[in-house]
Amino acid sequence: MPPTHKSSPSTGAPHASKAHKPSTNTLSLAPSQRQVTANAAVNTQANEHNTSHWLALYFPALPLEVFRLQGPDDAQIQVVIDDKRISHINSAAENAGILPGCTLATAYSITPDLTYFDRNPEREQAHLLDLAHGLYRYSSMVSLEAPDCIVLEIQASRRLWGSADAISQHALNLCADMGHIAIARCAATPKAAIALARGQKERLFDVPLYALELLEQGFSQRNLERLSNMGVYTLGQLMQLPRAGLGKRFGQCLTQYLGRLQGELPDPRQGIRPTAHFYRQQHLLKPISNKDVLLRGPMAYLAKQLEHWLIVHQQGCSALCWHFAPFKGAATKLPVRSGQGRQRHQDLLKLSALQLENTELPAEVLSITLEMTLSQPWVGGNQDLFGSLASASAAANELVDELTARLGQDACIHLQTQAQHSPEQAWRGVQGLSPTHQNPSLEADPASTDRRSAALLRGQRPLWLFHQPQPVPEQHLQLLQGPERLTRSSAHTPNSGVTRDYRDYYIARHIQGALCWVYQTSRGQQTKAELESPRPWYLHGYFA
Amino acid sequence: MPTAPDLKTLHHPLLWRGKDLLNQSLSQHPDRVLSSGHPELDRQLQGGGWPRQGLVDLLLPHAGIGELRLLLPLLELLTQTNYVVWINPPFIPYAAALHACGVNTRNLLVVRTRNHEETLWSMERCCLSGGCAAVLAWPEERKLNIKETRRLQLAARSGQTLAIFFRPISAVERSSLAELRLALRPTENIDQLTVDIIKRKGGWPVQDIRLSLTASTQTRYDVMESLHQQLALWQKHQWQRQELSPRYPASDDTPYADVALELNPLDHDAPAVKPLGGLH
Repeated sequence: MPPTHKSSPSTGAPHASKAHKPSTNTLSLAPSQRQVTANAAVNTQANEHNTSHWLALYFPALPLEVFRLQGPDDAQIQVVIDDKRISHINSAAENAGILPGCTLATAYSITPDLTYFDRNPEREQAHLLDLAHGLYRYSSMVSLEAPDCIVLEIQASRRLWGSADAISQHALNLCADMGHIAIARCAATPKAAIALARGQKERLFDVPLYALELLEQGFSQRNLERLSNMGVYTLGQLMQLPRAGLGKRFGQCLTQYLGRLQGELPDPRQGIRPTAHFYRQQHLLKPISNKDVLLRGPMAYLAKQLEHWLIVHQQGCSALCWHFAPFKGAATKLPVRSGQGRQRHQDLLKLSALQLENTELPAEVLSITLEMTLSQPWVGGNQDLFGSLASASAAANELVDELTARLGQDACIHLQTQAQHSPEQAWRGVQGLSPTHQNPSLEADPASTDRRSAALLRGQRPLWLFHQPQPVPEQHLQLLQGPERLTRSSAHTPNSGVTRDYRDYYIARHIQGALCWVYQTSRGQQTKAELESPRPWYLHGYFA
Repeated sequence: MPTAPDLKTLHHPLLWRGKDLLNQSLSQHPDRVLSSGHPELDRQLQGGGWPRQGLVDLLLPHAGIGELRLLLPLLELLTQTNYVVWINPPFIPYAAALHACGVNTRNLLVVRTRNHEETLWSMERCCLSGGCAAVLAWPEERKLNIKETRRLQLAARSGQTLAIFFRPISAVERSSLAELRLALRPTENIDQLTVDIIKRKGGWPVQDIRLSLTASTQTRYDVMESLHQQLALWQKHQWQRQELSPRYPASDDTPYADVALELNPLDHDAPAVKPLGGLH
């Protein structure tokens, strides 16, 4: 319940000077007023310590920043037009002497080469929402405050991150990474945090709540005028006025606002919910035809968003798909896969860049979409200081991913042995790396059949195997060892023990010096003449 | 007339001689080299073994003369804990045989590339990644130039990877910035290999190092004198028996080829027939 005030609102002017010095004016105030002033002072002074439950992020240059991703660099003069007047300018425009509030014609008369954008509130909200999704990792309660603020509840996260300052620093870094300048302030109530953040425009740091001017606080123009006519210019002055009288003159909205500002009224906020599916689209103002520009601009931005999404969901991305759409016509798809889940946008971008090199894009890309198609629970890996097995295998995983991205899906294989007699079936190439979680005891056991049979083969099988056996004249060969008869296991004839298709393998020396593995095939039903002639020899491998 | 100083007796602490590099034994640099498994070769190499990092050229007259048997001890050592990448091997590295020789085939990666640029790129990536200990590559000799060998030598050095190029013997004439260059020659004895060191650190080229390859395979391939005669005899018996016994239905001569094509994913992108004995 708001405290009742005895002094009338018309005596605002003398209060104004007192509000700036709360420590000296307490003597002249009524007891109830003293309480209010003390409240304000406590609010502001204790903010940084244990009562700052809310963090507000204010984006002063958001209307301009939403155009930066597609637009040219900052060296050009850029202004944003809102309601036929220039509302936001960049530093180049400021240097040229353009002031916010002037008309476009005035700006053109100052400098003709300027770029102007019409203010786009939907786009601003979309960017704000993207940022809020990124900030979700610092707090479970992230809400938007239109048009240019994000509010985070940080009480619950403070122990995890250390302090409110640490959280706000992290949040600011994240915003800067996404290309937005933000001002962060903590306070006991969300409204107070917003008011503090919005009020810090004049490069004065830590202006207390009661000294904030009313101008930037989202009051309507009419109310601002009426308040200034009363001599009320700061929030402190406004808070000292009796609530009942204020309500009567300005409506319940103002008293509710003041109540929420000071934490006397509850302020329920609607938090954002992270999306279950990652799908983001980026439309460009100007078409891009250069892959490098794409990679550094919109693709990096989308990849960062994906990273935030993945961190929030504790997932690693194992497959994603880029769509590059021209103005007209079908979009080019670029699916990117990764052997293990990845979270860092640098990794994702690197793989995409490798694949992008081999991809034919539309001549002019106007819209880019990033969609995550497959993810898996994130398993954080530790980098080892001493280069152990684990970090080497992580590096190998990365290597295989890169090779596959550049060379194609089946370019990189590992070898497996199989328990088959036929040489072609005794090995197998499998895409990617071999799974690491194998049974080590089985591997190391010298008595296991795998190892025993392998030892028998030592020196009996060639290190090089041909893709196709090649005919070789007999006079080139000098037989050394053999024969060893190998049959295909499935080719047994049912009624006799003798197999039909077999090969007799010999180890032989080729006249050029190589040690070869040669064979003769079985004879099928043949004529007498064929039986008389020698069977042909085939070369199937080298004991290199 | 001044006489030339006797270099052999010249010992001065400030005078460094390249020969000193070679005299440093394996025990002094156990981390920088990998024993080749062939003591005769180890003695000639700086530090006493293959360099742990850097580019090595192996020059062969043709494939299959024993180049893999030369490297088997190295592969056996490296694959226990690290990955070894093979880029564009001319044939299939036969997993069963490698496994039998103690190589951990799980840690072998075979990479197929479509052109020379991709080969070099993959090789450089492998060298720099730190995920593998050695890279074996079979580049296109015609397109390989000295700049690329320099680049790969640097990449292998900075990535602490052993990169091995297999090149035809004709590349002896072409200069390369590899750390070590060896020419391999087959001998009349199948269990032996002659190695010429063309270039090495800390020493002059060495000719005719004869290595015994039986140590790595532990198998001797002896000529069996009577094998041919036995074979002929046995074949004769076989035919006679076949003529007596009921004939089996006719069958396709090479039923294996189809199976092989289906099972081996490598097959479809490899040329079906390679010239016999040719490396490239």
